[in-house]
Amino acid sequence: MDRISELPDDLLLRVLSLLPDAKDVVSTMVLSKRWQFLWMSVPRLVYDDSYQNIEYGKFSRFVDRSLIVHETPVIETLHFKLGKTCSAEDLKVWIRAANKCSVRDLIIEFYCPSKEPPVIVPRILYTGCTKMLVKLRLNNVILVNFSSPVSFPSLKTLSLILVKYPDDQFVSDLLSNCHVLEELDVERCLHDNVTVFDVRVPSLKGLVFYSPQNRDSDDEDGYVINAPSLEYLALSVEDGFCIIENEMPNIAKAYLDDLYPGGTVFHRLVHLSLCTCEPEWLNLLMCMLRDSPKLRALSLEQYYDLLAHQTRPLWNEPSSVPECVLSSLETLEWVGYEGTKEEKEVVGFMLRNGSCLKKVTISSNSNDRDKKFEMMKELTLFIRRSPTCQLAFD
Amino acid sequence: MSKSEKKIVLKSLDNEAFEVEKAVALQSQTIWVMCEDKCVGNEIPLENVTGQILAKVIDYCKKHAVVDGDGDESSEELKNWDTEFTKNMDQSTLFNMILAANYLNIKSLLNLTCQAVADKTKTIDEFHTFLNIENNFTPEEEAQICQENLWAFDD
Repeated sequence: MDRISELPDDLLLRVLSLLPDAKDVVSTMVLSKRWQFLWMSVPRLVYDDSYQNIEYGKFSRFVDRSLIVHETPVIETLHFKLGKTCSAEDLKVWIRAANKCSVRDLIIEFYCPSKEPPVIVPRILYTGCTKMLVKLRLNNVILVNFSSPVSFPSLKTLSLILVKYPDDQFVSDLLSNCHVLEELDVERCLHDNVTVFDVRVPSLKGLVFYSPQNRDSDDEDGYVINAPSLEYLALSVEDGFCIIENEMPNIAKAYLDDLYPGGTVFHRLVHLSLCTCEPEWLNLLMCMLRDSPKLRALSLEQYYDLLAHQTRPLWNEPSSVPECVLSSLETLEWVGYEGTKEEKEVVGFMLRNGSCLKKVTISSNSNDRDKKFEMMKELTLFIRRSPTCQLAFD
Repeated sequence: MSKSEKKIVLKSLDNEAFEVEKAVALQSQTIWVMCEDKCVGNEIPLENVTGQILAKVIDYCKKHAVVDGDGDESSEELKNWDTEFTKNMDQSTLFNMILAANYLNIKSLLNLTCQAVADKTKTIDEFHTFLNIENNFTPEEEAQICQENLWAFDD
Protein backbone atom coordinates (compact mmCIF):
# COMPACT_ATOMS: atom_id res chain seq x y z
CA MET A 1 0.00 0.00 0.00
CA ASP A 2 1.25 3.47 -0.82
CA ARG A 3 1.09 4.98 2.66
CA ILE A 4 4.00 7.35 2.27
CA SER A 5 2.02 9.50 -0.14
CA GLU A 6 -0.53 10.06 2.64
CA LEU A 7 2.01 11.96 4.69
CA PRO A 8 1.45 15.70 4.87
CA ASP A 9 3.46 17.90 2.50
CA ASP A 10 5.90 19.13 5.11
CA LEU A 11 7.01 15.58 5.95
CA LEU A 12 7.40 14.58 2.32
CA LEU A 13 9.42 17.75 1.72
CA ARG A 14 11.63 16.79 4.62
CA VAL A 15 12.33 13.43 2.99
CA LEU A 16 12.97 15.05 -0.38
CA SER A 17 15.33 17.59 1.11
CA LEU A 18 17.51 14.73 2.34
CA LEU A 19 18.07 13.29 -1.12
CA PRO A 20 21.74 13.66 -2.08
CA ASP A 21 21.27 15.40 -5.44
CA ALA A 22 18.79 17.94 -6.80
CA LYS A 23 18.52 15.74 -9.88
CA ASP A 24 16.86 13.06 -7.77
CA VAL A 25 14.57 15.63 -6.20
CA VAL A 26 13.43 17.07 -9.51
CA SER A 27 12.84 13.69 -11.08
CA THR A 28 10.20 12.84 -8.45
CA MET A 29 7.76 14.87 -10.54
CA VAL A 30 6.95 11.72 -12.49
CA LEU A 31 6.29 9.51 -9.43
CA SER A 32 2.58 10.21 -9.22
CA LYS A 33 0.12 13.06 -9.21
CA ARG A 34 0.65 13.52 -5.48
CA TRP A 35 4.35 14.20 -6.07
CA GLN A 36 4.19 16.12 -9.35
CA PHE A 37 4.75 19.61 -7.92
CA LEU A 38 6.25 18.88 -4.50
CA TRP A 39 9.85 19.16 -5.69
CA MET A 40 9.35 22.88 -6.36
CA SER A 41 9.03 23.53 -2.63
CA VAL A 42 11.96 21.50 -1.31
CA PRO A 43 13.95 23.69 1.10
CA ARG A 44 17.36 22.07 0.61
CA LEU A 45 18.97 21.48 -2.75
CA VAL A 46 22.34 19.97 -3.56
CA TYR A 47 23.55 20.51 -7.11
CA ASP A 48 26.36 18.12 -7.73
CA ASP A 49 28.44 18.36 -10.87
CA SER A 50 31.65 17.14 -9.29
CA TYR A 51 31.37 13.48 -10.23
CA GLN A 52 29.55 13.79 -13.51
CA ASN A 53 31.19 14.23 -16.80
CA ILE A 54 28.35 15.80 -18.63
CA GLU A 55 28.44 18.04 -21.60
CA TYR A 56 29.13 21.71 -20.99
CA GLY A 57 25.92 23.64 -20.55
CA LYS A 58 23.68 20.74 -19.56
CA PHE A 59 24.38 21.05 -15.88
CA SER A 60 24.06 24.83 -15.78
CA ARG A 61 20.83 24.64 -17.78
CA PHE A 62 19.48 22.18 -15.21
CA VAL A 63 20.38 24.47 -12.30
CA ASP A 64 18.97 27.55 -14.06
CA ARG A 65 15.65 25.94 -14.90
CA SER A 66 15.05 24.26 -11.57
CA LEU A 67 15.93 27.40 -9.59
CA ILE A 68 13.69 29.60 -11.75
CA VAL A 69 10.60 27.50 -11.15
CA HIS A 70 11.34 26.88 -7.50
CA GLU A 71 8.48 28.17 -5.42
CA THR A 72 9.64 28.22 -1.86
CA PRO A 73 10.14 31.68 -0.43
CA VAL A 74 12.92 30.32 1.74
CA ILE A 75 15.43 27.80 0.49
CA GLU A 76 17.25 26.91 3.66
CA THR A 77 20.26 25.32 2.07
CA LEU A 78 21.71 25.68 -1.38
CA HIS A 79 24.76 23.56 -1.95
CA PHE A 80 26.84 23.61 -5.13
CA LYS A 81 29.44 20.94 -5.69
CA LEU A 82 30.93 22.10 -8.93
CA GLY A 83 33.24 20.55 -11.43
CA LYS A 84 34.88 22.14 -14.39
CA THR A 85 31.79 22.80 -16.45
CA CYS A 86 30.61 25.98 -14.85
CA SER A 87 31.85 29.53 -14.91
CA ALA A 88 31.76 32.70 -12.85
CA GLU A 89 28.92 33.84 -15.10
CA ASP A 90 26.82 30.81 -14.05
CA LEU A 91 27.62 31.46 -10.40
CA LYS A 92 26.36 35.01 -10.77
CA VAL A 93 22.97 33.80 -11.97
CA TRP A 94 22.71 31.22 -9.20
CA ILE A 95 23.73 33.55 -6.40
CA ARG A 96 21.12 35.99 -7.68
CA ALA A 97 18.54 33.19 -7.48
CA ALA A 98 19.78 32.39 -3.98
CA ASN A 99 19.18 36.01 -2.99
CA LYS A 100 15.66 35.82 -4.31
CA CYS A 101 14.96 32.74 -2.21
CA SER A 102 16.57 34.22 0.93
CA VAL A 103 18.99 31.30 1.27
CA ARG A 104 20.37 30.90 4.80
CA ASP A 105 22.99 28.29 4.19
CA LEU A 106 25.08 28.67 1.05
CA ILE A 107 27.84 26.27 0.10
CA ILE A 108 29.97 26.78 -2.99
CA GLU A 109 32.60 24.12 -3.54
CA PHE A 110 34.74 23.55 -6.57
CA TYR A 111 36.34 20.24 -7.30
CA CYS A 112 38.53 21.12 -10.25
CA PRO A 113 41.73 19.49 -11.38
CA SER A 114 44.51 21.46 -9.72
CA LYS A 115 45.91 22.79 -12.98
CA GLU A 116 42.71 24.70 -13.70
CA PRO A 117 42.62 28.14 -12.07
CA PRO A 118 39.94 28.46 -9.37
CA VAL A 119 36.81 30.43 -10.19
CA ILE A 120 36.33 34.00 -8.97
CA VAL A 121 33.26 34.39 -6.78
CA PRO A 122 31.17 37.19 -8.33
CA ARG A 123 30.78 40.33 -6.23
CA ILE A 124 27.03 39.84 -6.10
CA LEU A 125 27.74 37.50 -3.16
CA TYR A 126 28.58 40.59 -1.10
CA THR A 127 25.52 42.62 -2.00
CA GLY A 128 22.37 40.55 -2.14
CA CYS A 129 21.84 37.66 0.20
CA THR A 130 24.30 38.94 2.74
CA LYS A 131 21.62 39.98 5.19
CA MET A 132 20.01 36.57 5.42
CA LEU A 133 23.01 34.25 5.22
CA VAL A 134 23.59 32.30 8.42
CA LYS A 135 26.10 29.81 7.07
CA LEU A 136 28.58 30.23 4.26
CA ARG A 137 31.10 27.71 3.06
CA LEU A 138 33.51 28.39 0.22
CA ASN A 139 35.92 25.84 -1.12
CA ASN A 140 38.62 26.39 -3.73
CA VAL A 141 37.53 29.81 -5.01
CA ILE A 142 38.98 33.30 -5.35
CA LEU A 143 37.50 36.22 -3.45
CA VAL A 144 37.98 39.71 -4.88
CA ASN A 145 37.88 43.22 -3.45
CA PHE A 146 34.67 45.15 -3.25
CA SER A 147 34.16 48.90 -3.28
CA SER A 148 33.04 48.98 0.35
CA PRO A 149 33.84 46.64 3.23
CA VAL A 150 32.03 43.34 2.98
CA SER A 151 29.63 42.53 5.77
CA PHE A 152 27.47 39.53 6.61
CA PRO A 153 25.30 40.70 9.50
CA SER A 154 23.54 37.38 10.23
CA LEU A 155 26.41 35.03 9.52
CA LYS A 156 27.11 32.54 12.31
CA THR A 157 29.23 29.93 10.56
CA LEU A 158 31.92 30.61 7.99
CA SER A 159 34.22 28.13 6.28
CA LEU A 160 37.01 29.38 4.06
CA ILE A 161 38.67 26.32 2.61
CA LEU A 162 41.55 26.80 0.15
CA VAL A 163 40.36 30.30 -0.66
CA LYS A 164 42.50 33.01 -2.27
CA TYR A 165 42.02 36.58 -1.09
CA PRO A 166 42.92 39.98 -2.52
CA ASP A 167 45.10 40.93 0.48
CA ASP A 168 45.49 41.02 4.29
CA GLN A 169 43.12 43.92 4.71
CA PHE A 170 40.27 42.11 2.97
CA VAL A 171 40.47 39.16 5.38
CA SER A 172 40.72 41.39 8.40
CA ASP A 173 37.72 43.51 7.32
CA LEU A 174 35.64 40.54 6.29
CA LEU A 175 36.02 38.79 9.64
CA SER A 176 35.68 41.85 11.82
CA ASN A 177 32.48 42.79 9.97
CA CYS A 178 30.77 39.52 10.85
CA HIS A 179 29.42 40.69 14.15
CA VAL A 180 27.58 37.54 15.20
CA LEU A 181 30.02 34.98 13.80
CA GLU A 182 30.38 31.96 16.11
CA GLU A 183 32.18 29.31 14.08
CA LEU A 184 35.13 29.88 11.78
CA ASP A 185 36.90 27.18 9.86
CA VAL A 186 39.94 28.21 7.82
CA GLU A 187 42.17 26.02 5.72
CA ARG A 188 44.81 28.11 4.01
CA CYS A 189 46.40 27.29 0.69
CA LEU A 190 49.65 28.21 -0.99
CA HIS A 191 49.85 31.70 -2.46
CA ASP A 192 46.64 32.92 -0.88
CA ASN A 193 47.95 36.51 -0.93
CA VAL A 194 47.72 36.89 2.83
CA THR A 195 50.77 37.55 4.98
CA VAL A 196 49.20 38.12 8.38
CA PHE A 197 45.87 36.37 8.82
CA ASP A 198 43.96 38.51 11.27
CA VAL A 199 41.08 36.89 13.18
CA ARG A 200 39.44 39.54 15.33
CA VAL A 201 35.97 38.32 16.20
CA PRO A 202 34.62 39.02 19.69
CA SER A 203 31.59 36.71 19.21
CA LEU A 204 33.63 33.71 18.00
CA LYS A 205 33.09 30.45 19.93
CA GLY A 206 34.80 27.90 17.74
CA LEU A 207 37.92 28.29 15.63
CA VAL A 208 39.51 25.65 13.46
CA PHE A 209 42.62 26.97 11.74
CA TYR A 210 44.77 24.89 9.48
CA SER A 211 47.78 26.19 7.65
CA PRO A 212 49.80 23.59 5.78
CA GLN A 213 53.53 23.12 5.67
CA ASN A 214 55.58 24.60 2.85
CA ARG A 215 53.60 27.77 2.52
CA ASP A 216 55.95 30.47 1.29
CA SER A 217 57.40 30.74 4.69
CA ASP A 218 58.83 34.06 5.57
CA ASP A 219 59.49 35.77 8.88
CA GLU A 220 56.62 38.13 8.31
CA ASP A 221 54.16 35.32 7.80
CA GLY A 222 51.81 34.50 10.61
CA TYR A 223 48.49 35.16 12.19
CA VAL A 224 46.82 37.10 14.97
CA ILE A 225 43.89 35.84 17.00
CA ASN A 226 41.70 38.06 19.10
CA ALA A 227 38.68 36.02 20.14
CA PRO A 228 37.96 36.31 23.85
CA SER A 229 34.75 34.20 23.75
CA LEU A 230 36.40 31.16 22.24
CA GLU A 231 35.27 27.79 23.64
CA TYR A 232 36.76 25.44 21.08
CA LEU A 233 40.12 25.89 19.42
CA ALA A 234 41.95 23.67 16.96
CA LEU A 235 45.22 25.06 15.64
CA SER A 236 47.46 23.33 13.21
CA VAL A 237 49.97 25.74 11.85
CA GLU A 238 53.25 24.58 10.41
CA ASP A 239 55.05 27.86 9.79
CA GLY A 240 54.89 31.48 10.83
CA PHE A 241 54.38 33.41 14.02
CA CYS A 242 51.24 33.46 16.10
CA ILE A 243 49.99 36.19 18.35
CA ILE A 244 47.09 35.61 20.65
CA GLU A 245 46.12 39.05 21.81
CA ASN A 246 43.84 38.28 24.68
CA GLU A 247 42.98 35.68 27.28
CA MET A 248 40.57 32.97 26.28
CA PRO A 249 39.12 31.94 29.62
CA ASN A 250 36.19 29.97 28.16
CA ILE A 251 38.17 27.40 26.21
CA ALA A 252 36.76 23.97 27.03
CA LYS A 253 38.26 21.90 24.23
CA ALA A 254 41.52 22.40 22.42
CA TYR A 255 43.58 20.69 19.79
CA LEU A 256 47.11 22.01 19.37
CA ASP A 257 50.16 20.81 17.55
CA ASP A 258 53.34 22.77 17.95
CA LEU A 259 52.09 26.07 19.12
CA TYR A 260 51.59 27.40 22.58
CA PRO A 261 49.29 30.38 22.97
CA GLY A 262 51.14 31.38 26.15
CA GLY A 263 49.97 33.48 29.02
CA THR A 264 46.43 32.23 29.38
CA VAL A 265 45.05 30.09 32.16
CA PHE A 266 42.41 27.81 30.66
CA HIS A 267 40.02 27.60 33.59
CA ARG A 268 37.40 25.70 31.65
CA LEU A 269 39.54 23.48 29.48
CA VAL A 270 38.48 19.88 30.12
CA HIS A 271 39.45 18.13 26.91
CA LEU A 272 42.86 18.60 25.31
CA SER A 273 44.36 16.87 22.28
CA LEU A 274 47.99 17.37 21.35
CA CYS A 275 50.02 16.20 18.43
CA THR A 276 53.39 14.63 19.23
CA CYS A 277 54.94 15.16 15.80
CA GLU A 278 56.91 18.29 16.50
CA PRO A 279 60.09 18.28 18.59
CA GLU A 280 58.52 20.88 20.91
CA TRP A 281 55.52 18.75 21.83
CA LEU A 282 56.79 17.84 25.26
CA ASN A 283 57.36 21.45 26.17
CA LEU A 284 53.88 22.34 24.87
CA LEU A 285 52.34 19.51 26.87
CA MET A 286 53.93 20.61 30.13
CA CYS A 287 52.89 24.25 29.59
CA MET A 288 49.31 23.26 28.80
CA LEU A 289 49.10 20.96 31.84
CA ARG A 290 50.37 23.78 34.03
CA ASP A 291 47.82 26.23 32.63
CA SER A 292 44.75 23.96 32.50
CA PRO A 293 43.77 23.34 36.12
CA LYS A 294 40.45 21.61 35.30
CA LEU A 295 41.62 19.24 32.58
CA ARG A 296 39.80 15.89 32.63
CA ALA A 297 40.80 14.21 29.38
CA LEU A 298 44.12 14.31 27.57
CA SER A 299 44.84 12.69 24.25
CA LEU A 300 48.19 12.52 22.55
CA GLU A 301 48.49 11.47 18.98
CA GLN A 302 51.27 11.17 16.44
CA TYR A 303 49.95 12.00 13.00
CA TYR A 304 53.12 11.60 11.00
CA ASP A 305 56.36 9.79 11.69
CA LEU A 306 59.15 11.83 13.09
CA LEU A 307 62.08 12.30 10.75
CA ALA A 308 65.21 10.46 11.80
CA HIS A 309 67.31 13.60 12.03
CA GLN A 310 64.79 15.49 14.16
CA THR A 311 65.99 16.04 17.68
CA ARG A 312 63.99 14.28 20.32
CA PRO A 313 62.71 16.35 23.19
CA LEU A 314 64.36 16.01 26.56
CA TRP A 315 62.29 15.16 29.60
CA ASN A 316 62.79 17.39 32.63
CA GLU A 317 60.87 16.40 35.72
CA PRO A 318 58.79 19.49 36.57
CA SER A 319 59.49 21.10 39.92
CA SER A 320 55.84 20.82 40.90
CA VAL A 321 53.08 18.52 39.69
CA PRO A 322 50.45 20.39 37.65
CA GLU A 323 47.16 20.91 39.46
CA CYS A 324 45.06 19.03 36.91
CA VAL A 325 47.21 15.91 37.27
CA LEU A 326 46.64 15.99 41.02
CA SER A 327 42.98 16.85 41.04
CA SER A 328 41.04 16.38 37.81
CA LEU A 329 42.70 14.36 35.05
CA GLU A 330 40.73 11.16 34.52
CA THR A 331 41.73 9.80 31.14
CA LEU A 332 44.92 9.67 29.13
CA GLU A 333 44.82 8.32 25.62
CA TRP A 334 47.96 7.88 23.56
CA VAL A 335 47.82 6.92 19.91
CA GLY A 336 51.07 6.10 18.12
CA TYR A 337 53.08 5.43 21.26
CA GLU A 338 56.59 4.27 20.41
CA GLY A 339 58.06 3.64 23.81
CA THR A 340 60.86 6.20 23.46
CA LYS A 341 62.65 7.43 26.54
CA GLU A 342 60.71 10.66 26.86
CA GLU A 343 57.38 8.93 26.16
CA LYS A 344 58.03 6.47 28.96
CA GLU A 345 58.94 9.34 31.27
CA VAL A 346 55.63 11.09 30.49
CA VAL A 347 53.49 8.00 31.10
CA GLY A 348 55.46 7.21 34.25
CA PHE A 349 54.99 10.74 35.52
CA MET A 350 51.24 10.69 34.86
CA LEU A 351 50.68 7.32 36.50
CA ARG A 352 52.88 8.21 39.47
CA ASN A 353 51.11 11.50 40.15
CA GLY A 354 47.62 11.24 38.66
CA SER A 355 45.41 10.89 41.70
CA CYS A 356 42.13 10.79 39.76
CA LEU A 357 43.20 8.72 36.76
CA LYS A 358 40.58 6.18 35.78
CA LYS A 359 41.74 5.01 32.41
CA VAL A 360 45.00 5.13 30.51
CA THR A 361 44.83 3.78 26.97
CA ILE A 362 48.05 3.36 25.04
CA SER A 363 48.19 2.14 21.48
CA SER A 364 51.23 1.52 19.36
CA ASN A 365 51.48 1.38 15.59
CA SER A 366 54.29 -1.12 15.75
CA ASN A 367 53.83 -4.48 14.04
CA ASP A 368 56.64 -6.03 16.00
CA ARG A 369 55.01 -8.29 18.60
CA ASP A 370 58.10 -8.62 20.75
CA LYS A 371 58.56 -4.88 20.84
CA LYS A 372 54.92 -4.39 21.79
CA PHE A 373 55.19 -6.97 24.53
CA GLU A 374 58.26 -5.20 25.85
CA MET A 375 56.42 -1.85 25.87
CA MET A 376 53.47 -3.36 27.67
CA LYS A 377 55.70 -4.95 30.28
CA GLU A 378 57.42 -1.66 30.98
CA LEU A 379 54.09 0.15 31.31
CA THR A 380 52.59 -2.30 33.76
CA LEU A 381 55.58 -1.92 36.04
CA PHE A 382 54.97 1.78 36.61
CA ILE A 383 53.68 2.81 40.01
CA ARG A 384 50.09 3.99 39.89
CA ARG A 385 48.94 6.56 42.38
CA SER A 386 45.29 6.12 41.61
CA PRO A 387 44.14 2.73 42.86
CA THR A 388 41.25 2.60 40.39
CA CYS A 389 43.33 3.41 37.33
CA GLN A 390 42.95 0.93 34.48
CA LEU A 391 45.71 0.54 31.95
CA ALA A 392 44.85 -0.69 28.47
CA PHE A 393 47.45 -1.45 25.83
CA ASP A 394 46.72 -2.10 22.21
CA MET B 1 11.81 15.67 43.57
CA SER B 2 10.57 12.35 44.91
CA LYS B 3 11.24 9.15 43.08
CA SER B 4 7.71 8.80 41.73
CA GLU B 5 7.82 12.28 40.17
CA LYS B 6 10.84 11.25 38.17
CA LYS B 7 8.80 8.61 36.38
CA ILE B 8 6.02 9.10 33.95
CA VAL B 9 3.54 6.73 32.31
CA LEU B 10 2.93 6.92 28.56
CA LYS B 11 -0.20 5.27 27.28
CA SER B 12 -0.52 4.23 23.67
CA LEU B 13 -3.52 4.28 21.36
CA ASP B 14 -4.10 0.58 22.07
CA ASN B 15 -3.86 1.16 25.83
CA GLU B 16 -0.42 -0.17 26.40
CA ALA B 17 1.27 1.61 29.33
CA PHE B 18 4.99 2.34 29.47
CA GLU B 19 6.65 3.66 32.59
CA VAL B 20 9.70 5.72 31.70
CA GLU B 21 12.06 8.21 33.30
CA LYS B 22 10.87 11.75 32.85
CA ALA B 23 14.22 12.77 31.36
CA VAL B 24 13.71 10.14 28.67
CA ALA B 25 10.17 11.21 27.81
CA LEU B 26 10.86 14.93 27.82
CA GLN B 27 12.89 14.64 24.62
CA SER B 28 9.45 14.84 23.05
CA GLN B 29 8.47 18.48 22.87
CA THR B 30 4.82 17.42 22.82
CA ILE B 31 5.14 15.54 26.11
CA TRP B 32 7.20 18.37 27.52
CA VAL B 33 4.41 20.86 26.79
CA MET B 34 1.81 18.47 28.28
CA CYS B 35 3.85 18.17 31.46
CA GLU B 36 4.34 21.94 31.66
CA ASP B 37 0.61 22.49 31.33
CA LYS B 38 0.08 20.32 34.37
CA CYS B 39 -3.35 19.47 33.01
CA VAL B 40 -2.37 15.86 32.86
CA GLY B 41 -1.42 13.73 35.79
CA ASN B 42 1.39 11.27 35.80
CA GLU B 43 -0.15 9.37 32.92
CA ILE B 44 0.02 10.79 29.44
CA PRO B 45 -2.31 9.46 26.78
CA LEU B 46 -0.79 9.41 23.30
CA GLU B 47 -3.70 8.92 21.00
CA ASN B 48 -1.82 8.76 17.74
CA VAL B 49 0.80 6.14 18.53
CA THR B 50 0.42 2.37 18.84
CA GLY B 51 2.21 0.42 21.53
CA GLN B 52 4.44 -1.31 19.01
CA ILE B 53 5.71 2.02 17.64
CA LEU B 54 5.83 3.72 21.04
CA ALA B 55 8.10 0.95 22.33
CA LYS B 56 10.56 1.74 19.52
CA VAL B 57 10.32 5.48 20.16
CA ILE B 58 11.08 4.88 23.84
CA ASP B 59 14.09 2.73 22.89
CA TYR B 60 15.37 5.63 20.85
CA CYS B 61 14.75 8.17 23.61
CA LYS B 62 16.43 6.00 26.22
CA LYS B 63 19.53 5.74 24.05
CA HIS B 64 19.54 9.48 23.44
CA ALA B 65 18.76 10.66 26.96
CA VAL B 66 21.50 12.96 28.16
CA VAL B 67 24.09 11.07 30.13
CA ASP B 68 27.31 12.53 31.32
CA GLY B 69 30.56 11.53 29.80
CA ASP B 70 32.58 13.05 27.07
CA GLY B 71 31.04 13.78 23.75
CA ASP B 72 33.17 12.42 20.98
CA GLU B 73 33.22 8.71 21.60
CA SER B 74 29.60 8.48 22.57
CA SER B 75 28.47 10.51 19.57
CA GLU B 76 30.25 8.06 17.25
CA GLU B 77 28.63 5.18 19.08
CA LEU B 78 25.23 6.87 18.94
CA LYS B 79 25.55 7.30 15.20
CA ASN B 80 26.20 3.59 14.75
CA TRP B 81 23.32 2.77 17.01
CA ASP B 82 21.03 5.05 14.98
CA THR B 83 22.07 3.35 11.74
CA GLU B 84 21.34 -0.07 13.19
CA PHE B 85 18.06 1.19 14.62
CA THR B 86 16.55 2.09 11.24
CA LYS B 87 18.47 -0.36 9.07
CA ASN B 88 15.94 -3.15 8.94
CA MET B 89 12.73 -1.20 9.40
CA ASP B 90 10.19 -1.95 6.72
CA GLN B 91 8.28 0.69 4.84
CA SER B 92 5.26 0.62 7.11
CA THR B 93 7.27 0.84 10.36
CA LEU B 94 9.31 3.74 8.99
CA PHE B 95 6.13 5.47 7.92
CA ASN B 96 4.62 5.08 11.40
CA MET B 97 7.87 6.17 13.05
CA ILE B 98 7.89 9.36 10.97
CA LEU B 99 4.32 10.10 11.99
CA ALA B 100 5.08 9.37 15.64
CA ALA B 101 8.25 11.48 15.65
CA ASN B 102 6.32 14.30 14.05
CA TYR B 103 3.39 14.04 16.48
CA LEU B 104 5.65 13.73 19.52
CA ASN B 105 7.89 16.44 18.10
CA ILE B 106 11.24 14.72 18.52
CA LYS B 107 13.32 16.49 15.93
CA SER B 108 16.34 14.22 15.86
CA LEU B 109 14.18 11.12 15.47
CA LEU B 110 12.20 12.78 12.70
CA ASN B 111 15.44 13.57 10.90
CA LEU B 112 16.74 10.08 11.39
CA THR B 113 13.62 8.37 10.05
CA CYS B 114 13.26 10.74 7.09
CA GLN B 115 16.94 10.19 6.31
CA ALA B 116 16.34 6.44 6.39
CA VAL B 117 13.61 6.82 3.76
CA ALA B 118 15.80 9.11 1.65
CA ASP B 119 18.68 6.62 1.85
CA LYS B 120 16.51 3.84 0.50
CA THR B 121 15.01 5.82 -2.36
CA LYS B 122 17.69 7.37 -4.49
CA THR B 123 16.16 6.56 -7.84
CA ILE B 124 12.64 6.72 -9.16
CA ASP B 125 12.51 2.93 -9.35
CA GLU B 126 13.46 2.68 -5.67
CA PHE B 127 10.70 5.12 -4.82
CA HIS B 128 8.21 2.88 -6.56
CA THR B 129 9.50 -0.39 -5.14
CA PHE B 130 10.42 0.53 -1.55
CA LEU B 131 7.63 3.01 -0.92
CA ASN B 132 5.04 1.32 -3.12
CA ILE B 133 4.20 4.62 -4.71
CA GLU B 134 1.61 3.95 -7.31
CA ASN B 135 2.11 5.76 -10.57
CA ASN B 136 -1.34 7.14 -11.36
CA PHE B 137 -0.33 8.98 -14.51
CA THR B 138 -1.48 7.60 -17.81
CA PRO B 139 1.44 6.84 -20.14
CA GLU B 140 0.40 9.88 -22.20
CA GLU B 141 0.44 12.17 -19.16
CA GLU B 142 3.85 10.92 -18.09
CA ALA B 143 5.25 11.40 -21.57
CA GLN B 144 3.88 14.91 -21.61
CA ILE B 145 5.51 15.83 -18.27
CA CYS B 146 8.85 14.54 -19.54
CA GLN B 147 8.40 16.40 -22.81
CA GLU B 148 7.59 19.67 -21.01
CA ASN B 149 10.57 19.29 -18.66
CA LEU B 150 13.21 17.99 -20.99
CA TRP B 151 15.90 19.86 -19.06
CA ALA B 152 15.18 17.71 -15.99
CA PHE B 153 15.63 14.38 -17.72
CA ASP B 154 18.37 15.34 -20.12
CA ASP B 155 21.19 12.95 -19.19
